[in-house]
Amino acid sequence: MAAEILTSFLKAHADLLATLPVTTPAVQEGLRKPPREVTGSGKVVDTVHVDTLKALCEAGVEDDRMASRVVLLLRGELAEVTQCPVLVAIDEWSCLFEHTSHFYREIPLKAEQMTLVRALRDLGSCGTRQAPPLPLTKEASKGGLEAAAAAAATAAEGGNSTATRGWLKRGLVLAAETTRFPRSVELDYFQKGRAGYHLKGNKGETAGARRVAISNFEPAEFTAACDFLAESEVLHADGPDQRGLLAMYSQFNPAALVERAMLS
Amino acid sequence: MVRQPALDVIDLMRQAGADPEEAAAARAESAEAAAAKAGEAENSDEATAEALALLQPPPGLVVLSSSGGKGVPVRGTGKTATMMHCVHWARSQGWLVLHVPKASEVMFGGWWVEPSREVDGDFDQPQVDAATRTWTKEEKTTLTACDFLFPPATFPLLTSTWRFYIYPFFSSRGFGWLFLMFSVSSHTICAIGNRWLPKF
Repeated sequence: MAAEILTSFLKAHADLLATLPVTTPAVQEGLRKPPREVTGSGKVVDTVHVDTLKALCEAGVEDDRMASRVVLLLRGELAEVTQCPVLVAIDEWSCLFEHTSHFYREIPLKAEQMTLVRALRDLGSCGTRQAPPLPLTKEASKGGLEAAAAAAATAAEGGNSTATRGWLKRGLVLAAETTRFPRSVELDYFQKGRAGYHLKGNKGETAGARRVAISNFEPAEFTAACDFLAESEVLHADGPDQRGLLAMYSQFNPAALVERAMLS
Repeated sequence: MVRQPALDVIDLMRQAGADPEEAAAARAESAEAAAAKAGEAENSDEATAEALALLQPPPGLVVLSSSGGKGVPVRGTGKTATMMHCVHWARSQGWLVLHVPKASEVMFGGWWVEPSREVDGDFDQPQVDAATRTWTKEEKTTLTACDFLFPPATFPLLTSTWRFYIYPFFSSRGFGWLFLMFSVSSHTICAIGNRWLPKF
């Protein structure tokens, strides 16, 4: 999986990645390759020197034993990129907080033990971040805008403010939940300390995180979707009766609508 | 057809993808303007709070979740489609996009894990063809067949299609138990008595 992520990432952005230098000192010193065997002389440990993000990704693609670690390092590197905006998009993100089906030596593993899971899940610990949210308390309001502006300026410089932590310096992390898998554990990743952020209930938005709720179609959206499906010849028998049936069958659910339209 | 949540997220992406220094300067300018208005406004507390809100940076993380009312999750509302819209927009605008389309593959997919060579207690997931891979001597000795993960579809096949029955029986050699296994899918019956089992 790690190698697949790196391969598709390289395929999409090879030219851009070649222009982005590696900034983390630990990576600049070189990546320690897994030891390989040399006949009669024991193990030899090689070091791969990488100077750009492209070289870093290629190191992970070439040697699958390094791929998971490279993804972890790449996430930290992307947090530092300011030359261009960065989007980290993870679908089925809530899945990473479930039990894993992997085991080693007949002992089931915890998700936290897996490097790749940590790389994609613990997004709050990937280095510095843009300015932290300012306190919108009464005290802050009384303190005046000058103090708040000074704090914002300090944070925007990305300097040594201890409050700066978390996400990308320039860009956005987009994560989508999934309901495809049963929740075997109580999801508490919105609690502080799990993913490094917390939301207030289902609709709150604080600490640099925001939840966008997506619901079923509204009637106007349903009509527009039916028009689109009819234009694209997915919905064959179109008419008021057919649309009424579709509305009843799908209950305005987008996926159910497409399924039903394909059967029409 | 792009729905409103995708447009909202793209709007947030526009803010988050702006140059940090320029965006901070723009926020400071707008906050100053709002502060000037706050001085003139009658309800200065609210105006000051609005001005402070303008100083807030855009969110660093956006979570797409389904809303079925009262917190009930609903399948198929278009979370993945919204993400695809955002990824497409970002790539068309020259963003650097790290897209993980199926995080479930990390948790439930793949064939095996192996201990990390960098951090004790961690496990990596190399995903290559086991047949073509060059295994080191150490791996050959440490990895056993049990360390390979069966495909996720195999477990329900193994567990749910087999029915287990235990019957007591008497024979000339005395009392015993008969263990019967019946496969629903292949209609196979396996029977074994405890006489042939090791003592336990």
